[in-house]
Amino acid sequence: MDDLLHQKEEESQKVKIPELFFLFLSIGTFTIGGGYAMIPLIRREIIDRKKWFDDQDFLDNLAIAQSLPGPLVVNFSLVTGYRLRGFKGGLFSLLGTIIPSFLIILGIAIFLWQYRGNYLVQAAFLGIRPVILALIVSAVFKLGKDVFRKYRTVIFFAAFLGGVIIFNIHPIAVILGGAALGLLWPPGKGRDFGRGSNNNSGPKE
Amino acid sequence: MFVLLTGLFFSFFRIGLFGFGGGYAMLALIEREIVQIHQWMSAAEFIDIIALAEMTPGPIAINSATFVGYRVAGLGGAFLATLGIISPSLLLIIPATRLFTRFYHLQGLQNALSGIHPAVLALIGLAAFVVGKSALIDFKSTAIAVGCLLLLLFTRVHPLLLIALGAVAGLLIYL
Repeated sequence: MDDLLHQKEEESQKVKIPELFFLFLSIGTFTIGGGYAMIPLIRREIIDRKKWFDDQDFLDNLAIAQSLPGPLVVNFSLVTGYRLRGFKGGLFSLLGTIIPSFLIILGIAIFLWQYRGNYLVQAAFLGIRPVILALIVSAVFKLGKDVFRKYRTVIFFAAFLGGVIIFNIHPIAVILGGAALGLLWPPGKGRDFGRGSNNNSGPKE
Repeated sequence: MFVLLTGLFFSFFRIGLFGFGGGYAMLALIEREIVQIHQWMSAAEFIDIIALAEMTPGPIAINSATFVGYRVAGLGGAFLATLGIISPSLLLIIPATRLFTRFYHLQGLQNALSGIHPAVLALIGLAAFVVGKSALIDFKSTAIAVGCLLLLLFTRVHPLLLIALGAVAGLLIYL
């Protein structure tokens, strides 16, 4: 009896692995629209409901996930799970995130994709494709709020975009080139749009 | 088959390893590996897969990897492509989490990241360019794209609603 009580006490202090797994499983099952749509839901669960992290920790985790390669939510679930329950926590958070996606897509690929050649589906997709284009372009604007605010990063963006489209530069070379340019021409020398023309103050973008 | 499966795994491993900036930025990498280099599927089919990845729950990168893997090499392909795209994260994230929290405020790292961010956006722009080549087939499809872009930027309209309306518009216009 005593042991059981002690065990319970310990468990309540720790985040449980199944709790992590099912949290990410439910977010992975019900969030449509990709990684950036999942972040606000994860935030609500982890900060507002479960109070595992505060806002600052959450933003740090997001910064780590965004700064490393790999799908955003995959990285984010790994960081979150790892910081709460070590390697096992990270692994099970990751599994929860990707299992629904994997199973749903597999089901569609096996059972529904064969109807893709159907003329109704063909016509529908002709209307869907421009919407997808609009979604991708809107992602550039939404994610680019900070980048488009400074001459320096706007020039980088234009140069990289021209490079990948006109000269077919390899995407990996662009990422590495971005890191190199960022070091050679560090922020702070750039000017802010709409502020004083010699604003050299902020080292942060 | 073995060659195909290992090819899939390493293609998606590369995509995961160099895919900064989330799903949309990774689309350009996936398109290059799958459509241009290996020619496992056509540009039009690739766009339809993006549409599907948008419509179904979960991260777009995972959805695309699973689907492309299945189309190219069946169940094993789906599994290995998905494993390939998450493996770099599995290997990097945990050691990096420890280092990163310690060095995140270093100026050199911040400077490099400030150059990587516009590069990531340019890759998303490339994905838009690739999709645009097959999506904009006439004046009407261009009008749909421009209208949707304005709605997405200036209203809180749900992307799924736009995709559904796009399907209806496609049936009305092109049938």
